[in-house]
Parts: sequence; structure tokens; C-alpha cells
Amino acid sequence: MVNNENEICAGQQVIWIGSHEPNTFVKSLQHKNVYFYKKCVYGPLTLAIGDYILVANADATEPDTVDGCDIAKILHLYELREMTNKESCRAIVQWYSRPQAIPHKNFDVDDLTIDFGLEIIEEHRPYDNDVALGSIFRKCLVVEGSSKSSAEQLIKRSKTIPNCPMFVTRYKFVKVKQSYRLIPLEIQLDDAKEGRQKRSCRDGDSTSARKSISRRRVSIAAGNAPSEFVDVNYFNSENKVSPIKIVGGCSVVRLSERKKRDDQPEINANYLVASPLTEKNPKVATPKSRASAARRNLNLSLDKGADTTADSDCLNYSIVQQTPDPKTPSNDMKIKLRLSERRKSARLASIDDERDPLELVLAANTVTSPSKQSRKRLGVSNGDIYHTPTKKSKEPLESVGTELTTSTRRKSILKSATTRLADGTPRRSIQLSNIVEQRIFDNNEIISTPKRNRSKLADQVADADYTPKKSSQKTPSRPRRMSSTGTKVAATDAPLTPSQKLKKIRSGELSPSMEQRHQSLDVGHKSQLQLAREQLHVSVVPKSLPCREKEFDNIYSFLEGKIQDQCGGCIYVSGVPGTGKTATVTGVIRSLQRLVGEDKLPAFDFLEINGMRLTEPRQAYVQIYKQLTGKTVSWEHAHSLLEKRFTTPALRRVTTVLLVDELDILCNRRQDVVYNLLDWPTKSAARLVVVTIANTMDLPERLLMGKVTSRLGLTRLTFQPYTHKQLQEIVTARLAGSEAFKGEAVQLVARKVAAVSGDARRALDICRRATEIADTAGEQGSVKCVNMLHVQQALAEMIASAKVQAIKNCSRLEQIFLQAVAAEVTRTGVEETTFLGVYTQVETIAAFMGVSLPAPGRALHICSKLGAERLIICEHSRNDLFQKILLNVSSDDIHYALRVEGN
Amino acid sequence: MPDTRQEVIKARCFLKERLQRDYTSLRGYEAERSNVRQLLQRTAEMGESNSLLLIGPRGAGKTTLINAVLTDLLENKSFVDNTLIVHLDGNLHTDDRIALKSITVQMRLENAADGKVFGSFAENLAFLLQCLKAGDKKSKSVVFVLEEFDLFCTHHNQTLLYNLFDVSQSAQAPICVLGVTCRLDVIELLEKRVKSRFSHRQVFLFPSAHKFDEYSALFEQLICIPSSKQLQLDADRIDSLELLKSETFTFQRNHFDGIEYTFDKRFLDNWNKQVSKLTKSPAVQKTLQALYDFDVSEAFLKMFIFRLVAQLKPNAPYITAEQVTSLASQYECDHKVDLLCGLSVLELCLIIAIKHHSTIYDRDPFNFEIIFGRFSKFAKVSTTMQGVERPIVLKAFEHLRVVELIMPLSNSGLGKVQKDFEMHKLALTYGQIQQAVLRYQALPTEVAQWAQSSLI
Repeated sequence: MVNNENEICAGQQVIWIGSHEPNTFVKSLQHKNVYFYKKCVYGPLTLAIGDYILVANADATEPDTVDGCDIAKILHLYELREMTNKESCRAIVQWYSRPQAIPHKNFDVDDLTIDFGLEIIEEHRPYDNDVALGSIFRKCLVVEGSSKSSAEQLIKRSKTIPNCPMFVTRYKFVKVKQSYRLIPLEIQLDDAKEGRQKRSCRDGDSTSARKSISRRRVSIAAGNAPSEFVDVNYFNSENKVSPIKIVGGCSVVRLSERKKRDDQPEINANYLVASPLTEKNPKVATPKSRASAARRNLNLSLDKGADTTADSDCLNYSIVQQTPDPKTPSNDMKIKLRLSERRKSARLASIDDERDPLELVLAANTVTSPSKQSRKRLGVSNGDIYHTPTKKSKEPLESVGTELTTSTRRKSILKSATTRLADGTPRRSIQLSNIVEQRIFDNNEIISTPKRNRSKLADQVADADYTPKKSSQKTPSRPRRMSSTGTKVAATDAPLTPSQKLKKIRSGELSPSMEQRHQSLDVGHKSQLQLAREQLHVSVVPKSLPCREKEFDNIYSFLEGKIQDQCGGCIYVSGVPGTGKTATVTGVIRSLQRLVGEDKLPAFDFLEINGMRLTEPRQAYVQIYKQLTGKTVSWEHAHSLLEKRFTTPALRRVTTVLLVDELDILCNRRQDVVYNLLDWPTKSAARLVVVTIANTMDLPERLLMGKVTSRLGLTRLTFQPYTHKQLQEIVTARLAGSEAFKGEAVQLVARKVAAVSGDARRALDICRRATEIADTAGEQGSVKCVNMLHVQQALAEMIASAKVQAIKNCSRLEQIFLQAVAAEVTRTGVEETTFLGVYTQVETIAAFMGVSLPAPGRALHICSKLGAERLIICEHSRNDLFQKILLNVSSDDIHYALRVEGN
Repeated sequence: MPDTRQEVIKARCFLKERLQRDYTSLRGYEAERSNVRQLLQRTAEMGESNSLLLIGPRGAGKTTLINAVLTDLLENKSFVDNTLIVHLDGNLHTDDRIALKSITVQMRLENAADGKVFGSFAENLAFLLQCLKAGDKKSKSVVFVLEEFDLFCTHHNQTLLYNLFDVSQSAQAPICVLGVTCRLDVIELLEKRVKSRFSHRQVFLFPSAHKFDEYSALFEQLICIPSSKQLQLDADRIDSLELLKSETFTFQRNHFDGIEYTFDKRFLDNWNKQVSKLTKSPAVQKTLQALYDFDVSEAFLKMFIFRLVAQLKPNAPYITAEQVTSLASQYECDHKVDLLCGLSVLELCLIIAIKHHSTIYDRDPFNFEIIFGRFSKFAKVSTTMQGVERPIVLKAFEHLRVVELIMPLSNSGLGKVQKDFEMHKLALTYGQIQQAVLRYQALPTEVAQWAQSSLI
């Protein structure tokens, strides 16, 4: 069984165990030169087919925590024996999704109760199921159960392992008859399979060939999963225990199996000590590192350890024969002590059973304190069985670690792996710790559940009390990103201090809300006019946008194509205000989301930012990040996180559609924000489609820099202002079935507005005002209907300027003053006059009209009053007699207003 | 009669308080009032979002109209329960940052505690918008009153206005934006996007300029002391104001409450009779006409009456027509002429010299040297001005500058030019100088003659 022929090419950390299996067949890898294996050791993890793993999700808020990972089951382990830039050691997995990732409608259909904290759902949507081993975060435990028993029951029945993430799966999300549904696991999916095959056939028929091929492949690969999984379990049943068995089965048998099994890799590891890989490592040659010294000590102690103590007993399997260092066993007591501590803690933790106990240790460390600090400790804890690394000894080792890997995010685990690697015998050390843990388990007669553990369980139970619906209501914007902690927080009603609140707001846990009404709105009988008024409000979203069909189709086909091709792109939409740009785009998004709901389109995320809703351009990053994750961070941080997200490829990433409204506001002098927003779609990993909206047609040429314009591309769309016919159509479409408006009244509004701006909002507002006027004007009893008169009155109110009216209602001296300004302008022929000149005119006019002449001081008072109304524009009154005065109304208006008054 | 003394003092107190602190009684504007009222009612009861601008000249009663409408609506229990009122003033909330904080506090959002708002500007904005977005027809209506609306238009990008109007035009929490401004061209100040989102409802308040009868009736009404029954009615009207629990609205807290005053019946009758007689007297009518010609607004009249009422004394228990006319003439007098009359003869001589220079050179700027030269010519032949030395004349010139009868041409040239040569301009009309010369008491004849003619 020992196989080591390919460990050199298997990357630094991966050791394949067992010979490769030529019979395995995976369709997606059909044409590739791959070797399949059953098991491997990857860094600190021992992975085998059928294991449940957590795969880091690059898009998650905190990819290095359990919450930030996706759950999957390994179906195949394989090595890609081709020259590619992909990581060569990979796995085919069966994905499991958290319930948040399942569309909510699926929870409504049946009387399902899904425990959002505990449960996961077997995923059969076509996600990429080819995972590099590098992205595996850790292992976890999944209990498969039937839908008859609840998640808590299952968890209770199975003995929990502290600090190891445990999940229950009871449902799968399978496509049945063209739509995805939640189906209990125990129902065999013959029909589902049929459906899938049918679908793939249909796909083949369909015109979009490119899409169907790629998707079918994936879906078949995923579809094969259940049956193959059973096989795998069957084959491995001799030295493998399926998760269910772990939960329910008796431990004795397993233990014996375990012992048998453990023998093999140990030898394997011992063999590896001499492998060229390790010898190559210069760190081995430096015995001065305390770490290696400690390890040697440990080995020695192990060597020496007789069967007398429990500790030594548990180290019975030591590797000893191989250990080459004959150092003095000075530290030996210390090490023993540590070991016993470890054992104690292990006992307390009541480890039930795991195939790879080391991972339990890992789990213990990660779960208790999942911060970065503790991840550092993780490396230590792996090591502290045999050495205590100081900073000095660790640093060079770390550098090795970074050499080994390109992924920085996984550094922590790699670090621990390479620490051991540097020690010279990484594999053996893994085995060593395995053994340690194993033996601990053997001796662990008293299984006690520590208090902490119980409380955690209680928490989970408490969590389960909230139905998924309730929790989804609490979430601010994006329910699927919500973590289970969110519900917990929302449930507690304790008063918070401002700083606590702020923290909660920033982390997106405190959902903003308005005060609720005491009594709800009365929805009694409404008159026709009231109904019409409601329909005419701009906020009412019509079912379809009349007169924008062409633009709608344009954007629709653009976005649909991009989402289906899973690539990025930009489109620039321009048009004067009130021409339906944003409404059209959001309408397109709505219909696309409907398609997604019907499973006719791959899922996509929709984000929306508006330049005018930001205090400064860079806040755009914060808003985007907040919509992605629900967390508020500083813009610098948000920028770097987004940069990372959009430049690094991630599994299971869906297309993101970003709507950038009021693009021109986002342009600062450096234009870095616009640049980034338009640069990210060009990255292949981003899968980002950006729809930009602005008012001016030539904004890219006029305002944006060349490099930004070039990224914006040439996909442009201009919304013309509405013509009067279109406006009429829009209004009548909203009034459909209502008799509230006379046809010619609508036409008048449409023509008036189209002549000025073509702004649909304006037309609707005028119509709405007209209904109000009709409402108040109409006599009791008569059928109220908006006619021309009402519309005309509304137009007069809303479009006509009030300047003439204002002049008419000025006091007599103010009127004289205005006349004087007009006269002075005609006298000098210059628009700009000074107060002195005007005052002489006032003198004449006042004398002519028989009004007592106001003193210059009072005239100045009048001047400032008119200036405040903006009938005239005057300078600051500091300039006294010398202030300049400009007429802000036409002199015709003045003459007209005063002449009418005279008559 | 100690009794009448008490009554007069009480009446004075009553009238003063009513003139100053009656924030809610609006006269006229029935159509506008019902328009605004209906709008607010629809926002509160039907969850309809609206925006409206209230435009009118200063003193026309824009704020009073809003206060009056609110007072009306506050009687309605459902309005009190379902509406939040946010009051902003462009003079106080000079940028969006301050305005946002104030809104957050007044809306009692979650990121405010004890009148303090935590978090940065961007966070506050995002939070407010999310709150409004999270709201729907079930949430409370919010009425935003923006006083000095034109000043909000000067804020950066008009972010606040855009967002408020945007919310009012989308299916979010029902809000009503009431802008109050005196600028007629305020719509032109709005940015095109903001303008498009504004509903273009404008309500104009113009005090009428052609109803002098109403004006004099108002004069009478403002001085009259109503009967206790009427006072009771007024008190009932403003009872509901106590329900307005707003930190920023202050008018309801010290609103005038006439119920505290009770007058002797006989005094009351006497007083009112006297007032109506006063109003009908031709001298008062003429004065009122002059006031009306100058300013038609009620606020101006109130200020005038306040000064009248302040003259009430126990030994002068009634307002007389003479008081009215003399007060009006105070209003009409020219303060600069008064100022000129208080100058020394030397300073007046300088002013006259400046006037001669200005008439000759058509208001060209001048400096001390020019004026001193002209003055010296006069001083040579004058008996009073002989022997006045140059430094003294310079001092007098500087004094003229201090009282701002002459103004330096530019502020910047202050340090650079020697003060003898700094150019100035005259901030007086010739008519004013003429008047001053006529009114100046004990002005030497030669000076008065010189003022008439520049020939010496």
C-alpha cells in the first residue's frame, strides 16, 4: 500500500497515499492526463475520498473562518499531470450550501424547517466543482440525516466533537422538472436524474450551444456524485468510516480499524524522512534551531518512554527506530508534561472519534479563537507537541513557507506545515501527532462534556428557535450573507451604548429602520381621482416601461449575454433627467432576476451605487463592499478588499452586476474611483458587469481621462427626451382603466412638458397636481374629472414664473424702485446700474407720481428687500450708495405688471 | 386711580407679548393654507410623498403659515402619532454634515443617542438613506421643513436635497419636503437632477398691495384687546401645540397664551373705543398709508405697533394720533442727515468741499490733499475757519471716514498709500448735504453761503 513514487511532483505539501486508480472515470477530466487517488496528506490535513471539507470562499467577508467557507465533500482526489498554471493537486467535490444561499422561495413551498445555524443543503446547481487542494481550509463533520428528524435531534444523537464545525444535511437542492427544489436526502433521485438528462438533451437542442455544453458537463459531474459517493464509501469501508457511522456506530470496532490503518502511514512517513525533498531543505542541516532540538528531545523521550505511564503509552508507536539524533534527553521531562497536558485537554474535550485527530486539534484552535492571532497559535500548537518555536527560529521557516505557496491567505496553515517541513520530517510529525491523539482517545474512558461545549450547543438550539423567515426579515439587505450571529444580536433587546451600536451598524448587524405608524393607513374607499393620483406618483413602478422598449431590449440583451457568458463588461447609458434611465435598468434587472428565479439564467448579484448618495467619490468602495458583505469598513480597506476580490479568481463566484448611477459625481480630479470601477470588469476573474448612468452624452470624452474612456468602451446607449406622444402614452398607460382624465387634458400636459424638457417626472407631477385641483374645485355630487381648466391651472402653478405676480404685490415704493431701475437701464443702455443712478430716477418718478420721496437709507432698505426676493440682483449693502444693481426680471415684465395694475 | 394704572400696564404687557410671540395666527392666505394643509394631511394619512416650496418676500408669513398649519393638524390625533417633523434651517445647518446630524437626531434613528450622533458623515448619510429605504407605507411619515431653502442649494453637490427629493419620488418611507424661501428664482438654483426630482409644487405668498382697508383694519386689530371669550378660543386653538414634541421647534414652548390675562370690562371697552377712534383719524390714516407705501408686510406693521405700544404709560394711558405720526416721521427721517447735523463745523466744511469737488468732477474720487486745497481756499476768506492747522483738518477728515460718510475706494490699499493721498468716495447724495446745511443749527452764514455756491 505504500506509495511514494509521485510525491515529488505532488507539490510540496501533498503526499498521495495509495496507488492511483486507473479505473476511476470523471467526465470533465476525460481528456486530461490525471491520476486519481483515494487519499492524500496535505499539510496538516489528511484528506480522503468522502471527507467533508471547508473550502475557503474568496468572496466571503472573512475567508479564514468557518463562516467564510463553503462546505464540500470530496468525491475524487486527483493529480493533474499536465503542464498548466493550475495547481496540480486537485479534488472533485460535491458542494453543500448554507441555507442562506438557497433562494428563499424554496423554503416557503413546503413546511420545511431549516435550522439556519446548523444545516447545510446538498447543492446540485452547476457550480464549478473542481477545487485546488490549496483552497481547502480544514475538515469538518457533516451528519447526513433524514428529513423526518430535526437537525437538533440529529446533532444530539450524534456525539458532538467540540470545536469541530458540525453540520447536518437533510435536504438536497436538485433540479426537478426544470426548477430547483429542496428534496429530502432519503428520496432517491431517479426522477431527478431523469430530469437532468432530459434537460441536458434539451440544452443540446437549444441554440446557445456554448453555454449548454459547459453547463451540462458540470451538471453531469455533479449529478454523478451521489451514486459514486456510495461506491466510494463501500470501497473504503474497511479502513474508512462514513460520517453517519461515526455518529451512530460503536467505537470499538473503529478503533481497531484505526490502529491497523495508522500503521501504514506511519511507515510511510518514516520512509519519507530520507526523501530527497526533505533532504534538500537546508533547514534540516541546521541543528541549532531550537525547534528541531526540541523535536529530537521529544523523539528521544518517545524512544525512551516505556509502557509504564499513560503518556508513554500513548506514544508507543513512535517512529523511534528511525530517529537519528542521539542528543541528551535533558528536556525530556518538560515535553512529557506538555504531552500530558495535551492529553488532559483532549480528555476534557471528550473527543469522540475522528479519523484524523490532528485536525481536531486544529479545529480546537481555530474555533476557540478564530482571529489572526490564534492562527499563529495554530502553527504553534501543531508544533508544540514536539517543539516550542521562538520567533527567531520561526522566521526563517516562514520565509520557506512563502516560497512554497503563492496564496497568502492560506499562509497560516502552510506555515505550520512548513514549520514541520523545515524540521526535516514533516510527514512523520503528522503521523506522530496522529498517534498522540489516537492514544489519547484510547485511554479516554471518561467522556465528559465540558460546560463550554454545552452552552454552545444551547446557543445553537436557541438559534434554531428562530425560523428562517424571521431572520431573513432582520437582515438589512442581503440575507444570504447573513451570519447566524446576526439573529442572535437582533434577538437581544438590551440597550446598547453608542459605541456598541456603531459597531453593530458597521458590521451590518443593526438594520436601519424607521419608526412605525401607530395606526396603519386607511385603505378605505378611494375615489377615481385618488386612485389616479396614486397611479400618477412617480414612485409607482409600472409593469412595463412604455416607449422605452428598444432601450430595454438593448440593455437586456447586453446584460443577459454577459451573465450567460460569465464575463465582464461595461455599458454607458446617458440621457437628460427624467427619461427613465434608472427605471429601465432596474426593470431589466428585475426581469433578469425573475429569469434566475425560474432557473433559466445563472444567478447573479446586483449592486447599486449612486454618486449623489455618496459624500465623496471614494465612499463608492465602501458602499459596494457593504452591499457585498453587509459590513462597513473604511474606504481604503474596502478598496483593497474589492481589489482583491475582483482580481483573484474564486470558485462558485457568480456574475456581479453593478449599477453606477450619476457617474459624473464620482469623477474626482484623479479619477481613480471611476478608473477602478471600469477597470475591474476587464479582469477575467471579476465577472463584473458595470452599467454606468449619467446625464451627458459626451461625458466620457469631456470629463473622463483617456484611460478611463478607453475602459468604458463603446457600448453606449442614449435615452432621448420623451416626445409629446410618448409622454401622452406614459400618462395614459398609468391611467389605464381610469376615467379621471380627459384625453385632451393629458395631451396638453404632454405637449407643454415635451416643449420644455421631455421630463416624464414633470408630466406626472403636473397631472397629479391637476387631479388635486380637480378634487378641490369640483362640486359635490358631480363626477369629478380632470379637464383642460384644471390642467391649465396646474401648469400655471408649476411652470409659469411668479415674477409678474410678485411685482404686482410689491409695495408702491418698491414698484417705483423697480421702475427706476428699468428706466436707468434704458437711459444708460447698460444692464448694470448703480444705486446712485437709480436713486435719481426714483426722485423723478416719485415726484411725478406724487409720492413722498424716500430717503436714501429707506431706498437702500427697499433695494435689499427686492434683492432678497431676487427681483433685482444687488451687491452687498456694504457698498452703500455705490452698490451695483442688476435687473433680474425683464423690464417688459415690470411694465406689464404695473400697467395692468394701473388699468 | 391705581386700578387704571394696573390695567394700562397689563394692557401694555399683553399687547407686547401678543405682537412678539404669537407665532401661529395667520391672516389671509386661505387658499395657500388649505393647499399646504391638504398636502401634509395626505402625507400623514395616505403615506403619499410630496415636495413643496413656499416662496414669498420677507415678512409675508411663510413660517407662520407652516406653524399655523401644523397647529391645525396637531389637533388630529392620528397626525401626531404618525408623523415626525424635522426642522432644518439653512442658516443653522450650513452644510450637509450638520444637517444630517440634526435629521438623525430629530428622526430618533438608532445611531443617535441623547442628541448626539456617532459615526462619520458618510456613515450617517448611508444610514439615513437605508432607514428611509427600509421604510414603507407602514412607517411614520416624515415632514421635513427646510427654512431658508435657498441656502441648502449651496451645499456641495446638493446631496441632501437630491436624496430628500429622490426619496419623495420613490416608493420608500413617505416624506414631505417643505422648502421655505424668499427667493423667487430658487428653482433655478437646483441642479438639473435635483430639479427633475422636485415636484415643482410652489406656493407663493404675497401680501396684498392693493388692500389698504385691510391694512388699517389689521392695525386696529393688532392694538385691540379681545374679550375673554375670544381669548379662550385662541387658547384652545393652540392647546394642541403641546403635542409637538420637537427639539428644534421652539415656537410652541413659549407661545403667547392670552388666557393669563383678564381685563376690567370697563377698561376694555374704553380701550377698544379709543383704538377705533384712533384708526379712523385722518392723521393716522395718512401715516398708515405712508407705511403701506413703503412696506406691505404684516411683520413691518407689527414692529411699528410694538414701538407705539411701548410708549404706553400710566399717565398716558392711550395711544394718540400724535404718537403715531411722530413715530412714523422717525421712520421716515434720514439718519445720515442726522449724523451730518451732529458734525463739527469744520467737518461739515470738509463735506461741503467734497461736495464741490464731486460736482465739478462728477463724483470722481478724491484724497485729503485735494480736499484740503479746496478747504484752504475757503478758510483764507472765512473768518471762522482761519488758522485751522493741517493736522486738525486731517483728523476731521479721518473722523468722516470713521463714521463712513466717506469711504475708501478699496480696502486693500490701506497700508500702501500714505493716508493723505488715499482715494475716497462720498457716500452721500447732494440732497442730503443740502438738508443738513439747512438743518444745522448755528451754522456760520459764510459756510451756508459757501455750501450754496462753490464760488468764493
